[in-house]
Amino acid sequence: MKWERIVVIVALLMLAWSHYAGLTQDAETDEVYMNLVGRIFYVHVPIAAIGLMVYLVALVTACLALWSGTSKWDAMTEGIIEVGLVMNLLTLVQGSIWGKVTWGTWWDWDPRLTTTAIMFVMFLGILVMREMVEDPDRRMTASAVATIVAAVNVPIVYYSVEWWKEQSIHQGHSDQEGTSAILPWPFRIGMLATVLLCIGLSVMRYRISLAKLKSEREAELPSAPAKLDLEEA
Amino acid sequence: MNQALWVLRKDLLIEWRARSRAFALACFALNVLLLFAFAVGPDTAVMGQHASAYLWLALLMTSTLLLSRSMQIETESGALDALVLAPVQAPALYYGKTLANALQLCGLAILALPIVLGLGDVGIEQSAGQLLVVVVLGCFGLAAPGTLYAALTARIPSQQLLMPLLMFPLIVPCLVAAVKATGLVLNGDPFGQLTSWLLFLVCFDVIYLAICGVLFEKVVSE
Repeated sequence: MKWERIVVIVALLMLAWSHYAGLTQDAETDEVYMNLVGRIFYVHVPIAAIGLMVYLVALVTACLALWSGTSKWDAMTEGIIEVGLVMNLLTLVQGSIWGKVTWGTWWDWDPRLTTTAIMFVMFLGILVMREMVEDPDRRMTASAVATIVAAVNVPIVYYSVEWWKEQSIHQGHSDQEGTSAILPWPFRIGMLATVLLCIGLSVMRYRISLAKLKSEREAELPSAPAKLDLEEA
Repeated sequence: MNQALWVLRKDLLIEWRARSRAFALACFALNVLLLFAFAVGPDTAVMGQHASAYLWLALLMTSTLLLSRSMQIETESGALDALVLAPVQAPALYYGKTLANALQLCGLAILALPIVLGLGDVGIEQSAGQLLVVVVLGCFGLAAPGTLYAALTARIPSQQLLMPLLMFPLIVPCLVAAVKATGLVLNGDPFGQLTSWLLFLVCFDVIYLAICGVLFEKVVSE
C-alpha cells in the first residue's frame, strides 16, 4: 500500500474521533454564546482553515512550476487545487447548515461567505482552463499564473471578518476567552487530521495528474523513423 | 518607462485608426445599459438607485471585448513576438497596454455616465472630480488583471469563454468597491465612507499592477 493511502486512512480515523469527541462532549463545555450549535466548530473550522492553507500551498507550487518549468510541480499544483476545491465546497456547505440554524438563512451576502464563494469560482475556473488547454507547457504557465493571481484572494477571505466588521454577521477570529477549556484537544486532533487528509489526497491526485502529463509528453514525441531496409534498396 | 509610453502610443494609434471598433464597443456598452433599463422596467426610482451598479456592469462586460481585442491584435500576425524581439521589456509592454486599456475604459465610462444619469434621473451629489477619481481607479482595477488574463488566454482557442470565467470572480472586490464609491458620489456620502472605498480601490490597483507586471514576462515568453 502506498504511504499516502495509509495517511488518508489514519487521517479519517483521527477525524472521526475528533468529531465524535467534539460533538458528544458534556453540554457544560459548550461554547459560551452559541451553546450546542457551536459544536460545528469541531467540524467546520478545521476544514475552513486548512482549506485556506491548501490554496497557499498551491501558490507555492505554482511559483515553483512557473520558475522551474517542471511537470511535477504543475501536477502537484493541480492535485492541491482539486483538494482545495473540495475543502472550499465543504466549508460553504457546512457554513450554510450552521447559518440556517444560527442566522435563520442558508445564505447571506456576508463578506466572509461572499469572498469564500468567489474563491471557489476562481479556482474552479483554473481547473476548467486546464481541461481546455491542450499544450502542456502553455497549460502549466497559464494555470500557474492564474493560481498566483487567484491566491491574492486568500488573505482577503481571512481578514474579511475584520476589514468589513460593520457589514459582517459572521463571527470574528476565535480566541481562548470565548471557548471552553476542553475544546482544544478534539479541535487540535481535527486540525492535524485535516492537514494529513489534505496531504494524502493531494499526493494521490498528484500521482494521477503526473501520469496523465507523462502520457501527454510521450504522445508529443516524434515517432522513431521506420528502419530502412538497405538490402531491398 | 519610455518603452511603456511607446506601447501606449502604439495601442492608442491602432485604436484611433480603427475608430469603428471603438464606436462598436461604445454601442455595445449602450446596449447593455438599455437592456438593464428594460429588464428593470419603467421604474426610474429603481434605475436611479442602482445606477452605479449598471454603469460598472456595462463597463465590465465591454471590458472583456476590449481586453481580448487588445491582445488579439498582437498575436494575430506575430506582432507580440516582434515586440519581444525588438526588444521591448515585458513589464513595459504590460504597463503600456494596461494604460491604453484603462484609458479606453475611462473614455467609455465618460460616454456611458450621462446615459446612466439620464436613465436613472440622478445627479451628482458630490463633486465631478471625485467621480472622475472613482472612474479612473475602477478602470485601472479592471485593466490591471484583465490585460494579464487577455495575454494568458490569447493563444487558447476558447478565449472568449475562458477570459470572463477567470476574470469575473477576480474582479468582484474591485467591482463592489467601484459600485459603492460611485453610488456614494451620486447619492451623497453622509457617513464619510467614500475615502475607505477609494483606499480599497487604490490597494487593489497597486497589488494587481505589481503582481501582473511581474507575471506578464512569463506569459509572453512561453
